[in-house]
Amino acid sequence: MTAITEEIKNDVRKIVIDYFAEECEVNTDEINNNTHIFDDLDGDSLMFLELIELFKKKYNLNIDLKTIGKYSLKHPVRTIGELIDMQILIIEHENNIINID
Amino acid sequence: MDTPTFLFPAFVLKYKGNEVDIIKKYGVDFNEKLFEIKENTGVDITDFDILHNSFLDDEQKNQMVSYLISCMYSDILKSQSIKPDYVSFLSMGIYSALYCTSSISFDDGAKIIKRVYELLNKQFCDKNYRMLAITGLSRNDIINILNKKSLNCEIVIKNNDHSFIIVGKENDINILLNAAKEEGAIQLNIFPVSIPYHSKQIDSEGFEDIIFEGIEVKNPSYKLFSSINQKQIDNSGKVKTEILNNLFTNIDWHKTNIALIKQGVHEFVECGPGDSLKRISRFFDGDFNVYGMSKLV
Repeated sequence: MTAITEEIKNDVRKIVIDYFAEECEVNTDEINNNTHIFDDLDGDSLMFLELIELFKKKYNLNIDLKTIGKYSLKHPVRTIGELIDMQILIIEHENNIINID
Repeated sequence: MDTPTFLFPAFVLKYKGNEVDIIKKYGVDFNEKLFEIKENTGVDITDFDILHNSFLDDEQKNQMVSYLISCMYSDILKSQSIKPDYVSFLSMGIYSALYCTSSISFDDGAKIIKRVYELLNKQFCDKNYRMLAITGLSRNDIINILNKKSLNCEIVIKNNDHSFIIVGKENDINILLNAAKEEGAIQLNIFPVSIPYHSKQIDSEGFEDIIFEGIEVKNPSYKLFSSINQKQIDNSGKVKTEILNNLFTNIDWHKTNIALIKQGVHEFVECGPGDSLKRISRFFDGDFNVYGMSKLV
């Protein structure tokens, strides 16, 4: 279990926003917590998976994609803010994320 | 940019929205092409409208429009001196790839699409087959579900390590969909398709004579790369074999792209509507880029 610092939170936020800005060909200042990943950015689930892989490598995480899928079923992610929050939870809890209500 | 490889998509799931504008920008009369397909095949796509009537749910018309746009893109790229090193294709993208390599004419490609669709539709029209895309599970995860639930489904396309296309009867596909969701699939999409393309269920006996009647098939003028066996298709005989095998053989798109990257390909151009191939490529290892048309012209 990783202790989440302000530095990690800022890092996750920057990576997520930079990633979507590049992939979706928009400026970073056009993306905020309320930006809808699918409706506003034309994002897709493979982007979602790629970001998870990126964080897995960066933070050496023990997390199965299936676990995230199961978690997402209960806690759907639609906006950039929700995605950032989920990535932070993944870093903090790894596979135990599934046990969070 | 190195000499790129042109990749031709199967059909369109979602338009970028600028496809027709790109074609018209280069002086092509798109509407005339729509009428040409109607006259040549009887498939009426003349009321196509990318915003309001784009045939996304019409299996045959979707294929025909995808073919048309892909062929026009190929012509535009060549007219801008962007010519391919290799040419490859996913699934029904074979026909526009063959047009690009001058193996078949535009009209003959449209005729083949119609003939293939009619043959397969006749074989499967009352059998309720469906195609399901699963993202976020591995092949083993999917096979485990199929075995556990005793489902008669077949993995027919591997897009990448996290994305697969499965065909089966509607009831089995629905059970698979629900089980995959419970197992942790990130995304599940049922395609608007009723034919089990690339499945061993397809019986192609007698197809060859019907498909190729009056069709001239030439040797490819560019290096055509098979997504069935990852080998070069270098003569007209192999082209015909590929067209037939492409109907009932499982496709490993991941392996095809990795093989091309190993051959030294660094630049791919998605030569068709939408951007599905670019999206799929995210999980391929290697130093490469996939460009859409709007980046190039």
